[in-house]
Amino acid sequence: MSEHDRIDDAEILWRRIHVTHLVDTGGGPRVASAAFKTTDLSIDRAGLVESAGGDIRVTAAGGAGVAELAALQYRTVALEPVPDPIPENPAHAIVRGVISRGQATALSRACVFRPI
Amino acid sequence: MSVTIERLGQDWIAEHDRYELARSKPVSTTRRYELIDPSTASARATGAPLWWERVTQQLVDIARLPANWNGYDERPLSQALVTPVIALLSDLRLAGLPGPCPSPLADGGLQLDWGPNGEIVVEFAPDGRAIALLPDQDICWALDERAGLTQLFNLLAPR
Repeated sequence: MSEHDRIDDAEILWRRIHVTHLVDTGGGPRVASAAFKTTDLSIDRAGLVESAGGDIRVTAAGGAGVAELAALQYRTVALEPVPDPIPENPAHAIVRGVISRGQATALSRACVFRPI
Repeated sequence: MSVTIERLGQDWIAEHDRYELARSKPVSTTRRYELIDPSTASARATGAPLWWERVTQQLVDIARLPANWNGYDERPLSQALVTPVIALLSDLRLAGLPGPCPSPLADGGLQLDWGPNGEIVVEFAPDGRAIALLPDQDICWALDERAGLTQLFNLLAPR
């Protein structure tokens, strides 16, 4: 896998989750939809992080963990993750544009939170 | 910037303390809430809900987050939110309604969640304007009038 390759549907993508985005509203800790309400959502391609010898701690640095989703789960809600390698992070990818409230809710409910 | 953030944290605490002072005055405990009109909630208070300390502490923590608090170019919490957020929480408290889980928004706004999966959400924009959302029903409405608050309070009232 190259950092410029199209992101396959099955590819795992990580998003850093801040501790304030972990909420417990009666059903145990979960990721708040606020974690995905942004413009140009940055994510890391897990396979590239791991192939460079890293793990979730690379993406989660400074946060509580990562929200893990497959690329297909973004595409299911009409979002397109695309490679966006940068010098300090070749695994970087991005979902361009504004994430709507409905999309953010869907992503927050579909994701698996992986604590560090 | 750090002075501003500290000031914001102090504002939260000051609002909280002001509320605590008001709460120490005797209030009627002879009626249970009807939970339909937030404007009369203060006359129906029965005591402090368990969530108050938790939520206000979380808000202080959020207010103290610096810019770029999650490494994705986030803005610090807007100072314009102090008064409207505390006002809403105070109304919730006085009405005996469940407390929310607060989360910061990347643009400097604030989100409040209720329900196991965030079935009820309030979003405060950085300018202080608020909307309520039911994400599962794709419904949202403004909280800038009493009717909007009443609708929210009715949804939050135990059935």
